[in-house]
Amino acid sequence: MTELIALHPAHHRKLRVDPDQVEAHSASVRMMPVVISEFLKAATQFPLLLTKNADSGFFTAIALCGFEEGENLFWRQGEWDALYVPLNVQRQPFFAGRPQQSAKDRSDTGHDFVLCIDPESPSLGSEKGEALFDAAGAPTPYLQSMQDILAQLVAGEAATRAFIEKLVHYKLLTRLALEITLDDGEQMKVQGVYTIDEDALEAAPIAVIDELRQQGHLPALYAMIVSLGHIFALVQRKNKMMAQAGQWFQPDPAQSAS
Amino acid sequence: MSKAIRSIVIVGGGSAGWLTAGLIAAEHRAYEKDGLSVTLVESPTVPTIGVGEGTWPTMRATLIKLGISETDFFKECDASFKQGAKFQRWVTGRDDDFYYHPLMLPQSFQSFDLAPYWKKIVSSTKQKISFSDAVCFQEAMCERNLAPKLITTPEYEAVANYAYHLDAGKFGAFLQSHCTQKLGVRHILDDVKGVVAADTGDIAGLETAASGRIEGDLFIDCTGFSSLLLGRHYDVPFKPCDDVLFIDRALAVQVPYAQDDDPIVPHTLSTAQSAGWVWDIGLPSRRGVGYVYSSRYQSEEAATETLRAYVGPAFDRLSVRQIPIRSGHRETFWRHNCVAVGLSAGFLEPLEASALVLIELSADMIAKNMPACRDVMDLAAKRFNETTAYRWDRIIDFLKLHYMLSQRTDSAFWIDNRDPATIPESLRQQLEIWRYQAPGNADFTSNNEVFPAASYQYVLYGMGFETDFSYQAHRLHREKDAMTLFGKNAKQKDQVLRALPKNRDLIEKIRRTGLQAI
Repeated sequence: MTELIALHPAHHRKLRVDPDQVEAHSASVRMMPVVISEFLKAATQFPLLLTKNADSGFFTAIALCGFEEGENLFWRQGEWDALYVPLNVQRQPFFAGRPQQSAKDRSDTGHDFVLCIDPESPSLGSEKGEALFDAAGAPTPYLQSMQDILAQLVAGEAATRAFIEKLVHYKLLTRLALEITLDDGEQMKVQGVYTIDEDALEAAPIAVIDELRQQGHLPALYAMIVSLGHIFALVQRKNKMMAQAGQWFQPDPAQSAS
Repeated sequence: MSKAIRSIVIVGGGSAGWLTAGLIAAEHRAYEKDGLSVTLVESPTVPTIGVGEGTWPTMRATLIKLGISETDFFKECDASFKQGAKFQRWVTGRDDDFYYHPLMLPQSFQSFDLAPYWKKIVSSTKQKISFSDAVCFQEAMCERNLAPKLITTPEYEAVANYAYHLDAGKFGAFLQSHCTQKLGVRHILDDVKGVVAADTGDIAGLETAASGRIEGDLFIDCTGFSSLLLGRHYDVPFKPCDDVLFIDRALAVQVPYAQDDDPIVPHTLSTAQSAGWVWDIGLPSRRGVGYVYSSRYQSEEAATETLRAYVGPAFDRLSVRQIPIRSGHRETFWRHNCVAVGLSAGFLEPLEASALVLIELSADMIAKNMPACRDVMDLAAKRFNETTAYRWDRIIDFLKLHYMLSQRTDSAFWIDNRDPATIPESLRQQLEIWRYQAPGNADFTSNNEVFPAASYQYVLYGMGFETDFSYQAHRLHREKDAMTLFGKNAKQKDQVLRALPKNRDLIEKIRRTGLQAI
């Protein structure tokens, strides 16, 4: 993984971000991390599921974007093809770092995190796109909007963790085994994803439901259930993509040129 | 109407007592008003024996039945993963002599027998691939000290089949708190002073030092070697098997790791010595090491020296426990309304970790087939006795197999172990058959088998036993299928070796953050 660098007005005065390149970061992300505050928006188009962090075994919330490793079916012909763009796509190439250095070394975000950039991002340059700092070294409105997005993500991660802890504690999760047959007959399995156990939810004591309601978890919980239907839409995207790929491959371009 | 069986009294609080109490309480809902009553009486002064640190994969199902979280079990019982046993110096006695008895079946074992094809490859190409390595990927994992699963694998699920090593003392205490807090088992700490017999010969109750008389419908003897009810009260004779298995002493030590990050070996190590063998079990915090030997062939001084040589210089700082062993079992296990489970029923050397699994099997059978009323108890007892006697015999056969196949000539212990007079007839007959065909399911037709045919294959071919497959050459024409399966095994081996973490790393992570239940 690349080393992230803390953003600093003195060092990055001339840096610009090309918004057209930002979404390319997500071109091959099959499971896009999402936070609970964006569940209702994301649930309009993505299946919202949980998966386990490979290193810790803890659950994380994701929007399912594809079926195979490295496949993002919402990334089509160089752009993000969805009504809602998840915060984790919008925020590229910025990251929230833990404050480690002394306060004067970092740009003043007004938040308890340090704004960092991925220096190897293709969206970074000095000519095209949005400036980060104005002539006086103050953050531009663009950079401020990025800070806001990261602030939402940082706060959202804690809230999402609290939500998931309740689901685990009350045993409201179940494994989802997806076996998909595509139009061309190919069979695919998606493993390692989890969703709400509707039977367990149905059987849960009213005190549990009330606790979830008081903590504001019910909309997110139902958003997850409703969003499952989008798996069919995702299969349809995959079928369309395969059909198009089939068309492109049929006439061999080298032969038709000769 | 005959008296319903409502009240179960268990005497003794080691692993046997608490596992039995827990399995009966879980099956018969002792925690509910309409459930059976389960009481465990335990002496506050008699220490538990605390051996039996290796389990079978059956323990996973047992813990699930008891409603125990695997994460809690790892945290509380100093537990680690076990993926089988590695037998060192059992065949020739040389330093490079070893074979594995893994916990996974050979590839496609239920539908295809790879043994003859493995034999063909080894004899035609002079390739030195061991049987277990050719048909199963677990040996390769064990050799690299890998864990059998990932941190993302849910509790009790496996990438490679596994059992546990555990601290028996901690396990007993853990089960006690679970059984009393969650499963409704009543716990009485008191000494049993006497047995009150009814006119029928049944046990009516137990007199205790401070808690008065404890009455019950079924009494379960988990009192260890003292066998208080079945042995002392009913005087059921002990049937020794020291004519088959010569081990009669154990010396046990707890060995600290030299470094905090020393590997936790994910299998039981069993290293043959001149008059027995050394067990070596890796727990997260220490190793449990012991030498079981035959005092007919070696003095205690020489045995201590053998164990010292195995452990190394650290030995002199450790306290050595001596445990006398009487190999064998009671002639029957259930008499009147009393049944024995655990050491009170019998004992065998821990060569294949049969102690805890026999407890699980016995307790499970009692729980599942709990007689409804006194009228049918004698029938339940008869079935239990037949099944349990059969299981003891099969375990004795299987343990003897390890000794009789050895080629060691360095001591009378090993030479005498091959004396045909010491080999049970049932085992002798099986070996006659296996001279011409590999062990298969047809050799083991009971519903109550302990070791599957695959286990016999691992030991036979691990120890260099020769089966002459030439008489069935006409039916061994599936080389292509066999090669596909060998290839599949090699591919899976590659995958697991790349994906799975070190045993110690995973266990420490589980103790820190836990496994998910799903």
